[in-house]
Amino acid sequence: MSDKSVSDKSVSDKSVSDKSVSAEMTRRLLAAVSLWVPALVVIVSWWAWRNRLPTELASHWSSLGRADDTMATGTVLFVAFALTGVTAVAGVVMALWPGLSVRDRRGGFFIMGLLGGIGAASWVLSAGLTIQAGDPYEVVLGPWLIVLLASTCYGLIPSLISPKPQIEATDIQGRITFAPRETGAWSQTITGNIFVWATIVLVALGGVIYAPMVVDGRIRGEFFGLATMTAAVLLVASFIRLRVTADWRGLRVASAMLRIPLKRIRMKNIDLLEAGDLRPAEWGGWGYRIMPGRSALILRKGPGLIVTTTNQKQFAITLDDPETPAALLATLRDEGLSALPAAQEGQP
Amino acid sequence: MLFVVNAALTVSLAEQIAVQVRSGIVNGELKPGERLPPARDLAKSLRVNMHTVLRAYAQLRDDEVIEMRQGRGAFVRPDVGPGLIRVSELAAQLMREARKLGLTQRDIMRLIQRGGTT
Repeated sequence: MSDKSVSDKSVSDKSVSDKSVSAEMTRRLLAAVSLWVPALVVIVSWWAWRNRLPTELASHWSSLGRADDTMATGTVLFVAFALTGVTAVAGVVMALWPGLSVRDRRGGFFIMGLLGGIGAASWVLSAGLTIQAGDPYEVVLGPWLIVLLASTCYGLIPSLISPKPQIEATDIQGRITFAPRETGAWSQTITGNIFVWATIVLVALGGVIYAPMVVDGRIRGEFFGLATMTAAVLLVASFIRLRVTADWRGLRVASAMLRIPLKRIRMKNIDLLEAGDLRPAEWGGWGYRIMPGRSALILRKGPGLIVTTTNQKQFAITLDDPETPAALLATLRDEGLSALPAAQEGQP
Repeated sequence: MLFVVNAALTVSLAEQIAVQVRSGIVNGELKPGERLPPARDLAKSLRVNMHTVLRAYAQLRDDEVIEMRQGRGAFVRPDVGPGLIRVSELAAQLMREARKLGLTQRDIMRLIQRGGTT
């Protein structure tokens, strides 16, 4: 009887393992298939427009949005075919190559998707707008610029379809022992050097773009651009110094400079508290990253706190000592201290 | 850094907070030039009166451990180090013990000077 149970269990485990491998391969192949979409867009659009295509297509636009250069249609088409075709084939190779790590495969899919998206969008816009305008030099990019910019995000699709890398994190079991009428709070200011550099680059860029306009007196016409640049600088600068607080209310991250809240997770919504080694590649890069079901403030590679909420969303933040806030939050949550009225409220 | 306050202790809450800031500097959790949590935020986090935190900060400022910058908050003094904190703590302990014995300020100064020559 017991032999049979063991045998049944091993068969069941193997079945689960086979299903998991099969699901992973399905996701890899789906990611590869999604990389064929840009190539198909190029082929289908070329087929649909083949009789209306002029000999020259608009290929470069001035800052005013009007085309200022052209390229032979055959060359534009060849570049689009080559770019989307190579990325589509590369996607299949990456999906089937067993030696590639999950993380590298995801990154590869992202880059291939980005290139494929740009290739397809460039072709469709050049050809479509030239056909519509009649003359390549009459083409105005206008709001279609948004489509071109959005095409760079196409890499996210295969990357997100591809299996997720397993994040190594440890559930924090440690707790802080509080005496009766004792409570605690944890607070730390962290500095994001990446945001310091990003702010410096933006300020320098703004200086290069707008300083000559100030000198020439043309700045009045560029008010919208200047305001956008100023807002971008302020937004990035607000992440330079962050105050992270863990207390009876939950976890909060606020800009220490502008004093605006950036992230708040209420205590009642905290499910799992983990400390792990955060790698920017696993969280979408450096900075404030927002992904489906996950968000993160990655200021460097290293230790960090990962909070999983009751609706199974994750938030990660790099911290020198993630164990202490995790243990504090777990203690306050488990002991229900956050729900109790403060014993010392108002006491000097 | 972790702040823990206990309302059941005879030591005032302000003193508890001040001691923990000093300990934070000694342990290296708070570095010279580092900004302390705003008094209002820390008070809310610990569920104590904001004036309690302000009193703790004022005490630390008087002890030359932190400096208060108008409109910007409280910062650990750049010239403060674990050694200075340790000496401040020993000085405070010396003063308490000396007062218990009824020694005057001049007696204490004489003792310190004598300590320096031995």
